[in-house]
Amino acid sequence: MKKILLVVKREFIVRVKKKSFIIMTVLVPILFACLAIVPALLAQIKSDSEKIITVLDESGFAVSGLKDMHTIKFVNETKPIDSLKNDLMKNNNYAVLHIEKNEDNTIGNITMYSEQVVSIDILNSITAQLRMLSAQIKLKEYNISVEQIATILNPGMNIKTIQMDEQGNEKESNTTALMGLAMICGVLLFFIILMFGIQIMRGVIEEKSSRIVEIIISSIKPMHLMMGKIIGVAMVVLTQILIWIVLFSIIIFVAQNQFSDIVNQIQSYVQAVSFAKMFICFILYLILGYLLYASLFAIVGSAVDNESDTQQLQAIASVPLMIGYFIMLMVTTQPDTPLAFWGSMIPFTSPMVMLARIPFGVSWLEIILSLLILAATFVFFTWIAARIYRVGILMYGKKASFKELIKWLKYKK
Amino acid sequence: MILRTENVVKQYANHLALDNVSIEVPRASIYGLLGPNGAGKTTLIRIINQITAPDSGKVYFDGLELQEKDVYSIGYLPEERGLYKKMKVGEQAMYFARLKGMSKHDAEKNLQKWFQKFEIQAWWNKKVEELSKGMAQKVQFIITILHKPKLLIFDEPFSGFDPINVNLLKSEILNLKQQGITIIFSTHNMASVEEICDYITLINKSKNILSGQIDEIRHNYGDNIFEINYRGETDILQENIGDNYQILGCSDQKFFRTVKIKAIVKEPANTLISRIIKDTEIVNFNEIIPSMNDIFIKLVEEDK
Repeated sequence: MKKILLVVKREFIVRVKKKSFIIMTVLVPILFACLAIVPALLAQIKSDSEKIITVLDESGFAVSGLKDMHTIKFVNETKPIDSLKNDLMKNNNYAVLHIEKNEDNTIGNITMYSEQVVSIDILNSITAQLRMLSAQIKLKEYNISVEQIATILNPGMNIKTIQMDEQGNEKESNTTALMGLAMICGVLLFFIILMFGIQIMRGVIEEKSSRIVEIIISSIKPMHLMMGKIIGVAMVVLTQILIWIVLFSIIIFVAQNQFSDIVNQIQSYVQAVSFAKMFICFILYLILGYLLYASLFAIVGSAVDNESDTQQLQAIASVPLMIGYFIMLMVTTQPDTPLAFWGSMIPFTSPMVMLARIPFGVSWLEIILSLLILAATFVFFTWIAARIYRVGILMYGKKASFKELIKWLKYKK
Repeated sequence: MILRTENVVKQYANHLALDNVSIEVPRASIYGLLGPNGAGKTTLIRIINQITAPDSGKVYFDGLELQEKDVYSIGYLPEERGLYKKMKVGEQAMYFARLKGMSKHDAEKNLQKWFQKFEIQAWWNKKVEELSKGMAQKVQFIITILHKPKLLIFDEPFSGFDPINVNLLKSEILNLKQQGITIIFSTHNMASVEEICDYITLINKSKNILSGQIDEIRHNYGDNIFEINYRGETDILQENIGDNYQILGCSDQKFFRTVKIKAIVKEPANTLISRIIKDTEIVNFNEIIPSMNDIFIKLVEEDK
């Protein structure tokens, strides 16, 4: 036991000290903060440099109608178009908008002259404004106001979704929030398992290819070495998640204004689902799912001599994980299919699939059953992995086939 | 006996790695484990280190059947050796020492001592990837012997060392023997076997084909050829030694003659000397003993 702790400690310290760990841990929250803050900052910068578009409106419809947008100011002019075009360069204006008139007094050809290419955004919003103006003119002819037509076309209908339980309690639910939360948890789980599973595999290969393993297992049992490695990396995962939670909380707290959307969304999650249930399940499925896949990745690592040989065998571990990921994606839109149920029971896919199902309401009984199956499978596969690992780490020279792995399984010590 | 194996058998999927191998390693000796590549030396070493277990047969360590705790009393330096490249030398040495059951305090104290002895204190905080191969081997040697094992197993310990460090290592190995530590020594370098081993076992095709004290073995495999430098007449010498001996060759040096004699009938060397000395002055008398290299090649070739 003491020796396992030594291995755990080494695995943990070596990984936590790595630059990549530090960068990941700090950079992810910062990137996240940037994603939220930068657009807000950019919007502020833009408004400082206002763009002026001069408008020559021969039709007369748009003269009063074009509203300034937050970066664009419209200035009406009556000078002939040629002199306006000349002024464009001189005054460093953004563009000239020339609206011609048809013979029947409607808006005719519209042309925009500019030095730079006009951005799609600006073009779209001008088009929308002109369309609206044109509609207004038409509506005026029929004596209908814009407000009237708006209430007809957009009568403000929202479907309120209410979840009921067996006791008849009603709870307002928010389907988009549920799906969002389910997705985030499942995707997070998938990436964590994949990333750290591969780390385990690399660790095993490093020890095997550098023959360190021979020195180590002359002092510690292979099974203990493997367990120490898996637990050590698990500690790294938990540390990273903990630091992320803390950093995210700080960022969101400090910049509450910029994150009002996210804060609202989180609040809606908390209201929509039993947040504690989700959190507990996330941690449990993460730990058990990670342990199961870690032993699979350890098998792959022990069967090869170097990383370039891992491609084929890695499928043993990565294919079930991928399948789980895709079932999870389906479950977020169709949470009540048999696929969803079985996916959340079969241990290789259950961590992701069950997390995706939970927001839509899964009984504790089902969750506990699924967790038990997962735990039993993890114990079984760790036993298998230990048997293969023990033989594999001492086999040099060629990469093992799947058949050989089975043979190793049957070896006596 | 510090170590004894009894009819050890190890079968891998499609080949027999060890076939009834028995060896006896006397305490405080240097024991050479010889044999061509793939003969089964590494398997035997792994069994002694409890990395694998024999299919049948027994291993006794220090009088008792090999137990789990014996790993603390054995130090092993594998042939293909490695260290964690990204770890610092000191940290790594501490890790291995503690895996071998040393306390933090003892490990640190002993490491400091050895680092000083090998004059490598400056490496403590270097990463292993910054060291040369020879430097890394020194660190590994220290790691192997640090926990003061009763039995040390070195697999090709001198490969990769320059001559100066080979000497340093040799003297350290002899030093350990002086302290009562037993050393099993697996190598292809026969010169170093002759130089430092007391006993050897030759393993070929999974079998122990020769075991014993090295001088005895060399003597037994001698072809009874003697080289004598003398002053006197060759004819008289030939007459004196009689028909039991055959002269293989003669040459004249500046101050004496040299003759090579093969004994057809085996006699004690003293009898031969007394025959020669009658009418001839002996300057030098030598029995030509085959080198371990010759014996190794001869036996392995015969075993084909």
